[in-house]
Amino acid sequence: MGKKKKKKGLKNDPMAILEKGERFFQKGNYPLAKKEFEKLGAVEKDLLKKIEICDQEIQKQNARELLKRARKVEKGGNPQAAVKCFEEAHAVLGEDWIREKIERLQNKSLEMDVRRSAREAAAAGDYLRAAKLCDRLVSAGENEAMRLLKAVCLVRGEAYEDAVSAFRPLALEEPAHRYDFGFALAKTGRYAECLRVWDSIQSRDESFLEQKSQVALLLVSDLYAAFEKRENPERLYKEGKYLMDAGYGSSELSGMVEQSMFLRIGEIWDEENYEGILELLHQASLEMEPALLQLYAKTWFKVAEKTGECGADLSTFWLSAVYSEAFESRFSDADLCDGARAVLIDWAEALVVGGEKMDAAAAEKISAQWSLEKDVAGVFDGLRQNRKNGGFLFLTPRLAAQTGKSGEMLAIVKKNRSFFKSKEDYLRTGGCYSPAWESFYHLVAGEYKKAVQTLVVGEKEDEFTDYVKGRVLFADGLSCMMRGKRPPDDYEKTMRTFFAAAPEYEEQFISAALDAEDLGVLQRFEEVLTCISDRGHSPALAKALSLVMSRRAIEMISQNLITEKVFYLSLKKALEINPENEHARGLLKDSQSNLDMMALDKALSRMKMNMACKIANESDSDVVRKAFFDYFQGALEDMDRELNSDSEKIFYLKDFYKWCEKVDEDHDILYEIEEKLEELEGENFA
Amino acid sequence: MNPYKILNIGVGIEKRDIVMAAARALRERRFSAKEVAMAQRELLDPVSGAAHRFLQFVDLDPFLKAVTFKRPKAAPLSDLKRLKIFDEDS
Repeated sequence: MGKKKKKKGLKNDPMAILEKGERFFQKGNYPLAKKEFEKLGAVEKDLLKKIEICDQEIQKQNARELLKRARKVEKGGNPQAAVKCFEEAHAVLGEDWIREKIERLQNKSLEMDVRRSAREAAAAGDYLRAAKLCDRLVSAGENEAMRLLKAVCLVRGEAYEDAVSAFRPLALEEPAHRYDFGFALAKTGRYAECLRVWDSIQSRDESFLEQKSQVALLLVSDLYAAFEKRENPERLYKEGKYLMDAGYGSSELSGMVEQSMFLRIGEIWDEENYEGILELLHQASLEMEPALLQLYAKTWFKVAEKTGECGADLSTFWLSAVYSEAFESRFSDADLCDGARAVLIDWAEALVVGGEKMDAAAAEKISAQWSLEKDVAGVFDGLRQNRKNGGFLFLTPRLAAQTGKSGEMLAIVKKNRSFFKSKEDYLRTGGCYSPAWESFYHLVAGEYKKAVQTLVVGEKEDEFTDYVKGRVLFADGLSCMMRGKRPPDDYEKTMRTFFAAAPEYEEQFISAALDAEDLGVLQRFEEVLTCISDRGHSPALAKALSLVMSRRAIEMISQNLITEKVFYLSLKKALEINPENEHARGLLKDSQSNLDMMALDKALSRMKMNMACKIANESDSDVVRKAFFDYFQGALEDMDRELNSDSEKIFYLKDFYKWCEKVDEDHDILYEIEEKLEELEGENFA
Repeated sequence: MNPYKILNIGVGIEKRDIVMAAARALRERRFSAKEVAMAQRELLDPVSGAAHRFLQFVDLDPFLKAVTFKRPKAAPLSDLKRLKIFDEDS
């Protein structure tokens, strides 16, 4: 009982109540805190303030409960009820996101209403009203679904122009939407666009395919009508091309597309859109004829002028264009024609060779190829003057290969063998149109490795391909040798055949061999020339080999790479190959002299006087003989210094006399020895 | 350089007209005096004039043939009815 009383007493104690209220307040339990504070009566300002805070917090808690309920209701599919809860919560909390949420929900609610209304309207066949309802939502803000619904309603309501406008900005993923868009396009006369949209529908449904064909026919009809009026060539070309590519082609349509393309080319030539012209021409597969050739040539000229590039493309067409009958037919005065042609070639050359964006190496390469083409064009111009050849369209080798006309050009060359001043001219011109033409182009550009890589095997007895092959291998091998490297295998064998067919290149080879100075290069030439000379006899090659051998031998001896003996033998061999090799002969004489000197030195140092006399007698070299007598002259001088005994001196002098007399009976040294002997013997006698 | 563009003239113009066009081009100042003078000189010279006549114009007449079309028998546009085969998908 006592305990109970104590509790009761505490419960009514204001301090205890305040303390309890504070505790609730601190823990955020505002309803209980408020209850405790109110027990104390509203007397103190602080307490009143706290009760006010409690009231506010209680309201906020209630609002949060409302938010929870709103979300639950929203999930339950009742946006109107959710909006009510959110609005109440917003009145208390005033947070922005709640306002936004309310707006979204209101829109959703409206959308549902409109959808329902639209469905009802559509069900009743009133699509345009449905579209208007959708439009209300669309105007209210972005809504892809509503836009789509509106567009669909417009198609169904047969407001096709509006439907096209409604569909156009939308991303259409559903086939149904694409079909409706295409249908609206067709109904508004945009047949090509309709077909393009329908192409993205993967349906094999017969009625759909039939409808596509129907629209395609409408498009064809429409294009023909527009073409007759010469309307918009660009559209005619693009839509006609589309129909062709889509499999609706016919010869008439193809003709219309081609004609439209040329009409369009006329337009864009004036607009200076030359790349556009090339693109159009590229898409058409046209037979190369004089007018087309000129169009290509002029367009590439303009592109090269504009871009500073495309020199190779320009040169492919240009010379063919200005050496054509179509070009000449523009002039009644032949001199004016030639003058204009020369000017046009100069202008093109400046672009082909001096393109702004071209580096020096590329310019050199293109320049070499351009020169070749100019030469060939000149040859064919000459051939065209000959009536027996009739009229023909000259094509540069590159263009002939591109258009499959190399055979025709080659036939003209063969037919006119007697026109060519030399076999080399004939083979060179024919080589440009042979199957190995590409390799030949690389060759003239100095790209030997590429030339070898692009070599093709021609038919048997194809002299032009053989010529190109010979030229390519010749140049490649020579290039290797000039760098001191071995030429490719079988080089010697190939060159022997090639030199027989084209002797000019044998001369070139010999000239390169004789100009060589480096020891390694000389060695390569000696190896190759030795091999070629072994296999067949060519006096010129033998002479060259002989000279290369003697030149290499002197170079080697001067660098102490061979002995005097090897040097001598090399020279002898060179002289055997060509006895008229004066270089070898002169060197051999010196070499023999050197060898004799060496032998003389050796004999004298070993006191082999008979041998020394033999060498001095047999040597052709005056130097050797002089050296022999110099030796005895020195001995005479030494003897005076080193010997005291007269009898000894007399002995040696007689010995000297004997050896010297064997070599030259009338040499001055003999008189000197005699004099000395007389002097010594006179003294002794006295 | 296209002297015809600089002088704003077409092909087949007389020498006298070239000179007048050059004077007009100088007044208009769309191109420098040097460019106008060079354009005039190029066109007045018979050889370079002939070369420019070839280069600056394309003759498309050889490509443009008289084409007659047999119009295909297409059903009128009004016969094109909206198909409902795709409606289920939407």
